[in-house]
Amino acid sequence: MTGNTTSPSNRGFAPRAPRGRLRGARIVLSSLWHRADGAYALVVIGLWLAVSLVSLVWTPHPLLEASGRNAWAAPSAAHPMGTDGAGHDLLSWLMRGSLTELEVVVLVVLCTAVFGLLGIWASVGRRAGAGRGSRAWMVCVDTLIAVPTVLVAMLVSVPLGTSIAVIVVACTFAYSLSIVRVTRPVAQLAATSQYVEAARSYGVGEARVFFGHVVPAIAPTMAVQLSLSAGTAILAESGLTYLGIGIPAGVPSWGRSLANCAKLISVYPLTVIWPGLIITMVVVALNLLGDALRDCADPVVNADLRRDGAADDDRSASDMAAAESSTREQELTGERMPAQEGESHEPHRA
Amino acid sequence: MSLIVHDLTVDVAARGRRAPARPIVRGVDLRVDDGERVGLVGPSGSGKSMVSRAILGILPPHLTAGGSVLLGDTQMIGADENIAASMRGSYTGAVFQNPAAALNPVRTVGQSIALPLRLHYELDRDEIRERVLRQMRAVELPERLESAYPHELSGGQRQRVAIAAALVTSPRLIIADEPTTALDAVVQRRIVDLLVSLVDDLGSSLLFITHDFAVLKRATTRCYVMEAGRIVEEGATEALLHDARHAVTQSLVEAATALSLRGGEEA
Ligand SMILES: Nc1ncnc2c1ncn2[C@@H]1O[C@H](COP(=O)(O)OP(=O)(O)OP(=O)(O)O)[C@@H](O)[C@H]1O
Ligand SMILES: [Mg+2]
Repeated sequence: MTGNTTSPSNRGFAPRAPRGRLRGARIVLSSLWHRADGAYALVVIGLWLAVSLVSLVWTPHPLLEASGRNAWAAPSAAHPMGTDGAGHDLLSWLMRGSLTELEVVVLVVLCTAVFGLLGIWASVGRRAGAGRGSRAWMVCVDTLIAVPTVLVAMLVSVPLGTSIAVIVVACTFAYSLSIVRVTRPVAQLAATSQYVEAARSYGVGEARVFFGHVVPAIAPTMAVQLSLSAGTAILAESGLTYLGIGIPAGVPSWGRSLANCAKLISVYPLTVIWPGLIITMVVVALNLLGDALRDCADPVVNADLRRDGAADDDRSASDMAAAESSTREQELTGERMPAQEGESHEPHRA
Repeated sequence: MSLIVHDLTVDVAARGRRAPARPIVRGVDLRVDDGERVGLVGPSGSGKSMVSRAILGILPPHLTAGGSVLLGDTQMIGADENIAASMRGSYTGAVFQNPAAALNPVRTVGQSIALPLRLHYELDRDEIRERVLRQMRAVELPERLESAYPHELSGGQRQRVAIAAALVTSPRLIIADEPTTALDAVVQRRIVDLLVSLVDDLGSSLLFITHDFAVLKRATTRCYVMEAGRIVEEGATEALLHDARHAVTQSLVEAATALSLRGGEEA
């Protein structure tokens, strides 16, 4: 063995050029934009973000401005969506509520992703997931999934009180378990696949197999699941807030507005339309985003992601076929390029 | 780099009372000297792939290996996982049975070939790219396929990619586990010739696993015959072709002869 004295270093991946990542993100965004569902999702979510930011510095009326005389006012120039039972301007509360909603969704999605990945690691990781341990863990997951989310929320609300944390904990609990359940077959398939075996034969370690091969394989399913979680988290927020264990009373949120307006729904049924409409539109957008993202972010499905820069933009199936047949031809005629240049083939050992 | 395997065993770990421990490989001895091309041949299910996985230290988690596998001076059985992983891909290269499955579907050809380089060497992007392209030329893949995905390639092209990835770090020992089984006869021959010429250019050792004596004859000088987890016969490939002692060897030679060798001579 020639390289005995200088052993190869075990360095991490060379950081990918941000250019490549950004280009990928841009292509995904533009493919999303060119589908009806993707475009709808992008518009609604973009508006949501914009309104949240604006509400930080400006709302049509101060949030605490209220007068009993103005309660349950019908939409007017001063109050485009009317006012709730305390005389608060509904539009202002919904605007600031979108910020709270954003917080809930971001926290739930992040925690769900992290705990979901941990759960998947536990079920397919080499050391953790061999044989029996893995099966026991799946029985455990199946059992825990059966626990109603509302029950979890009520239990954690005992120590945590009424707070955003209750929503985040309960949703993370439920959604990360279902992510483990749903993605496990795909993860297992990837973890035991021949390309992982090949990767291991090149010296790829356990963590890198997981993040480099298993996670990309489950990424499309994860994207759909996480976007569903985002939508469901909004629904859970309004449900738990209505029950009085979600967002605390003075804090604006869509669920809070819905709960306030629903108090007199039999007398003023029209006021609930606004929070209801916004919640529905955003939840639909999040669900559609997941579906669209799955198709647009997968290089096997989205041909645009496979194109290599502008010069290659028109590379087509026929070109591929030509490449194919030229190799075939060489194979048949038996002509062969010189197998190797004369120069040394030994890489610089670092 | 020499490979010395002594008394290698592979067992399926017991899983409770109903599934007791079961041996898959029993006391296998084999050696591949520096620069030698050696075959390991045997019927399907005889444990050839398990031997190759045990040598590389990549057995599935519920299988355990015993005995001794010396790669150069490194003992691979019971080795620290980091040491074993740093040997794999730098001192050893492996090509597997099914080229369609051995490539990650969401990585480009270039990324797949670059993987062992990025794992083991401090190279910048341009150096990596240059090496990948040179390796693609060596396995006769057109450069434009660098950014293609596996599903856009033919079976033969995929196996070329797998060979390129296995050889890109110039490993001293190459283990090829039935690299041509999934391919048609013409492509099969071309791939074997390519592999042999690349291995010879590197001056590396080759352990070539197959059940096909016709392929073995092209690729190796010496070979071991395996049946039901044991080595039953060994010798020069030519000699075994004409003068097989063991029944298993005879049936494998006969099968190869009937299929493609036409009376012992190459078609
Ligand atoms: N993951 C596994 N767990 C338990 N037993 C296994 C596993 N994989 C393979 N075996 C058993 O090990 C034995 C040897 O399998 P191996 O894959 O090494 O055969 P092989 O000689 O490579 O056959 P082929 O020519 O078909 O590839 C077989 O009897 C098989 O049933
Ligand atoms: Mg096999």
